[in-house]
Amino acid sequence: MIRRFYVHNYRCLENFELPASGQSSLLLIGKNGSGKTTVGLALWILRKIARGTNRVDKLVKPKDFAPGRKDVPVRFEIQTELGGRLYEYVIALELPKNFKELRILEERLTVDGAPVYTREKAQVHLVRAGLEHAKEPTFRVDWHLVALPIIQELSHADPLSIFKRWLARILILRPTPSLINGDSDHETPVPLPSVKNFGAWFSHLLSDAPATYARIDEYLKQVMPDLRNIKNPLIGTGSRSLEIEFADAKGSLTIPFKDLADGEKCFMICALVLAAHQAYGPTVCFWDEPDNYLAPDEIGHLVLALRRAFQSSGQFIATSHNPEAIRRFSDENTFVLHRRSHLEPVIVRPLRELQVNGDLVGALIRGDLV
Amino acid sequence: MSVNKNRPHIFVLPEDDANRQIVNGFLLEFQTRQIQPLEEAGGCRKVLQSFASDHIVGMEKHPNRLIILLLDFDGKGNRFDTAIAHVPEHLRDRVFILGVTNTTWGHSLLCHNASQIACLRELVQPILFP
Repeated sequence: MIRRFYVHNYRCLENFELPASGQSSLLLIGKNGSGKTTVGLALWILRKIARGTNRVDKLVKPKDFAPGRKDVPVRFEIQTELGGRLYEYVIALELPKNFKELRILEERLTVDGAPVYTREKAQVHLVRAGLEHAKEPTFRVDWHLVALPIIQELSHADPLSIFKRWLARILILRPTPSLINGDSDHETPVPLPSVKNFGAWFSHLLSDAPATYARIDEYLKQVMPDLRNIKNPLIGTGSRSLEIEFADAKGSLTIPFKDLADGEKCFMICALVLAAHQAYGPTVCFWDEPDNYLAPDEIGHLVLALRRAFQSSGQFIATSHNPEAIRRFSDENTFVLHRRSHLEPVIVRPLRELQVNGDLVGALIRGDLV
Repeated sequence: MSVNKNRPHIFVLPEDDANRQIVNGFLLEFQTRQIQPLEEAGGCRKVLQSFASDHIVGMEKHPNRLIILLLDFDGKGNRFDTAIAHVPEHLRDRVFILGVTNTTWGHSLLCHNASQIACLRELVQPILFP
């Protein structure tokens, strides 16, 4: 679970803190352009770092500074509790005069407040238990490279390894069903936000944690009772293509994944989220508008299935404009994002602090919320 | 698919936003697709209007349908009597009127709810624990 997520000077997020602590699920609402998706983009930058992207230019570009604020560093800070220990990762990037690419200003990983490593510009300082400070390893790294992906982990139980695995497993979803064809020529433990590599994600889950098929099957058969089987046959050297078999008393029908309806592809994505959470939890899932492509009578069921799954561990973060999705959250875990103009930063406020007259959806439609 | 209308299913019609959130909390505890919360009506009278205009025909058409009208009694004990009077006699064994007060599920309130809950329990059990 994310205890704290702080972003400063990145696009519309200035001195922004996501109030995620203690919330197993939370909903971000707000007008178009209020910064909901940008929160997911900021998380995606951290996930990319954990998954090995270390060239700064591949993470943050000069255009990503808040408007007119290139002289102020961009900062990301994330805190999470894993195995009863508090992990915090901080990275700040700056753009000195005459630089075309940002460089690292500061970077550190701490566990329960004690540093695993610290960094200032190019200078990295590794903290090793039992070593005197003067003997602790210090080395220099190109200041256009993030250190987290390149520091060697000592073991699977190394705090560095535990934190990176958690961060690398964050699911950030903004599905575009028309791009998802179910084909794969590799495996991936997490999908792209568009989920166009669904086939690779499915292949990885089923080969790495085959027992999760039961979870996928259980969920999908509630949503599509005539589902019989999901097949992922080889169609060439190292390539697979998903097929879905449906059946009823009259017979059966197998169709390629790409021919499923957009909403049905979203059910499939939801099933894989539930399975991945079961296999690798506690995970964090940020789903930008999970109601997209769904029939009205399915939206509440999907949102509640996700909220329920993450209730005991991990975290489900959704954004939405949809009344039915919004109604499946409560005042305590709904947060309103707002900014006065494109030149001003996002302000986030808990819904319970706002005076809403009548029902929430009505207030949103009237534009009376903020 | 949404609720399976050929099997026992429940629609919950909350009076207001607070009751909607109570329903959410309840649904987080049970993995079922046979309960469909509906949009909050916006007042006790509107619950009864909505029931009359949107649900009576549906209940007659779908014998497996139960409906819970979740009201805010606000200490007004006669709301139960007012509400039940709006339910046609032939549907009363499938329509349940439950209420909370602003402060608590207090004793007097439970008295109101007791008979409804007793009937509801038998019908709901196979839906929640199939």
